Amino acid sequence: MAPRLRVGLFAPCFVDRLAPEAAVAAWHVLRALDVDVFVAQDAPACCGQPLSSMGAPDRARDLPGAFARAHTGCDVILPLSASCTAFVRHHHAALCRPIDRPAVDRAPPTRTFAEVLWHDLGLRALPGCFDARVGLHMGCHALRELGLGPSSERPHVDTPDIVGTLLSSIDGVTRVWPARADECCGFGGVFSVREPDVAIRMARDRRGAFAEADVLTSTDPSCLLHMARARGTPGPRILSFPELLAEAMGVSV
Amino acid sequence: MTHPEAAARFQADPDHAGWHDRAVWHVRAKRDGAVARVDDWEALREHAAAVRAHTLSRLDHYVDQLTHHSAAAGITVHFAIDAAELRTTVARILTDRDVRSVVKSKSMLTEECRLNTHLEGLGIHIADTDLGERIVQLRGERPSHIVMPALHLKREDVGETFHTHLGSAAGETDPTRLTRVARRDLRKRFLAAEAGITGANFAVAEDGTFVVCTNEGNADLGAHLPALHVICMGIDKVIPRRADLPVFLRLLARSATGQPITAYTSLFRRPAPGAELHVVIVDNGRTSLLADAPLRPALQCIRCGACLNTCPVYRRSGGHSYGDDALPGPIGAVLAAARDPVRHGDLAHASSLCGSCGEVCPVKVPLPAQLLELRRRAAATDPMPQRLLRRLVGHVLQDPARTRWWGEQWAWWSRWLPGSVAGQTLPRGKARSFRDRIQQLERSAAEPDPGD
Repeated sequence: MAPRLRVGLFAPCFVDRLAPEAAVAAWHVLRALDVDVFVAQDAPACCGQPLSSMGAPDRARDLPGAFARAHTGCDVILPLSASCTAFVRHHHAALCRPIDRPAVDRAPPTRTFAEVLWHDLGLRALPGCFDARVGLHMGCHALRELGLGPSSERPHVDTPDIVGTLLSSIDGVTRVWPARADECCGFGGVFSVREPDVAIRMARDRRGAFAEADVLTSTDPSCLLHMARARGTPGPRILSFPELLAEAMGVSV
Repeated sequence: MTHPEAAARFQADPDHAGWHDRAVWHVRAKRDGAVARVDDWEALREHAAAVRAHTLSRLDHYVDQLTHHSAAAGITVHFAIDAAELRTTVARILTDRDVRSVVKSKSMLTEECRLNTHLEGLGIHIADTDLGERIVQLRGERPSHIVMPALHLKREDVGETFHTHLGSAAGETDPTRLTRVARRDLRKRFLAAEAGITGANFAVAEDGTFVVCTNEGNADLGAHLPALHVICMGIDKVIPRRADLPVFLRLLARSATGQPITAYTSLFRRPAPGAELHVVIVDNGRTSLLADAPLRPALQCIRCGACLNTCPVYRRSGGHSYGDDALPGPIGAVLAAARDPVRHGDLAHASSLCGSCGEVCPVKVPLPAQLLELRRRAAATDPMPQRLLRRLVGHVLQDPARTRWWGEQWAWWSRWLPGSVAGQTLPRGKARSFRDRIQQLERSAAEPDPGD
């Protein structure tokens, strides 16, 4: 029998403090799927993306090395936000200090939640039952940096929709498609602070696009937190993917 | 006015802002439809990007080739190092020949170089002949889009403008009738013009051909009716071979409007008998960009406007929010901030970095990465409080204990703060973070509940 998969579950800075329940749900779900879940207490709080998008990547140069070292011994690292996963996967090697480069290069591969289920656990269908019309908002970096699903801009690039397939495989889930398949929710980290009017309008528009759904979920808790800010918009209940799965599997959180 | 301020003003009329978003998205959707019908789209993009990158790497060689062939065909070639030299060069060509009346077809370069105001100051009458461009000219506005200059206006606005300036019936909003009014007025100007100015979409180095793409045929009238035709083009418009041209023509119109090709694609190779053809090749900062490795690919741009149409921020802030000195949209933000990272630093932040612009770009300009790079350059000269804030953020996020302390502070204090500040909802921190909770969870998992 193959040894249990050891997953380094990483709650990115904002998930850790603003949406810890998403990470707690992921912890429970992974354990219920017989995964050895490890949470590095000494990992830095953040992947460094906020500093990079503020224009200060130099202030984040210590983070990649510390992040890699904190997860030594894991088979894969799972930051609970596809955007952070994309940042670690595509930017850490260039960002880190030269002395940290060997550690960063040797670090376990970084995955999104759906990739752990699909690639590492080999799941093609998820257990449990969740009786609802569910809208899936793909985070922009999940889609365009990680290629985690088909993108509307490039119809000829055939990318399997693993998140959507996994979601739809849950008993009772009916997928709801928004009018614009993959429009941004308007979060963009520092963007939503610097450009509040456009960012909130985007959140409102995006949430409104899922009006037909009972539940709105996403690859990224940050997108969900941002769309939740669009107050007064009639819209579906917002639930992170791990929480949705925990509910479906009846895992007590 | 900074971009966020201009965007806030644009969003102050939510109905109009919503209409603008839908109108621009409609063009993006037409592009998607056209792209879906070309099976080798990704190969075309790859090829076009490679041709552009190659051309830029040997730009001097190809510009030499271009000028050699066009001069041999009887075209007079001028060079202008910057906007001022373009203005004086064109003005000299016109005043030397006593030209008082000019028709111009759409050219983002002459917009960039403020040619119109300069010529008007010299008493030369200049009429923009692209319908959208004519509308914004009459209104004294700047184009809000690089392909559809009057995209920000509704038909009612156009009716009002034409009523004021062209004497159309009050309250007229029918597009066909309004177009007829504009055409009658423009026809007079075409017939009276002593010179025609056009831009160029491409210039073929190997045979000295200048390519102009329009949908209204106005460039052709303007180039052929008067005995003097002046082409103004950026130095970046060169492509090496005639065989490369179809690749770009296939990409350009599909990306811009979803058409397979523009209605008129005209190739100019020599002056007509008895007429003069001048070309002004303009640098205006392009060679500095050429020397700037991370930003150089921005010169690959063919000005299709696809990055504007897909940009969720452009659609919700409008073309004018990018200011008077910048082209709108992601490419405009990159080009402006590349020119002056401090003054246009706000434009580098006018993006959620969703990445869609990079995906639609037919010549694969890495716009998101360039915006990030420009944020870095802009940040270097930020005022002290902002730099201190970033230093603090870096310091806190590096260390789990510091992050916990600040997180707890936030969780406690945010309970007493108002729900929103300046229209922004404040995120409430949770008293117990994931890392706090996980220690307890791990303990209870290790020691099964005796009651189990």
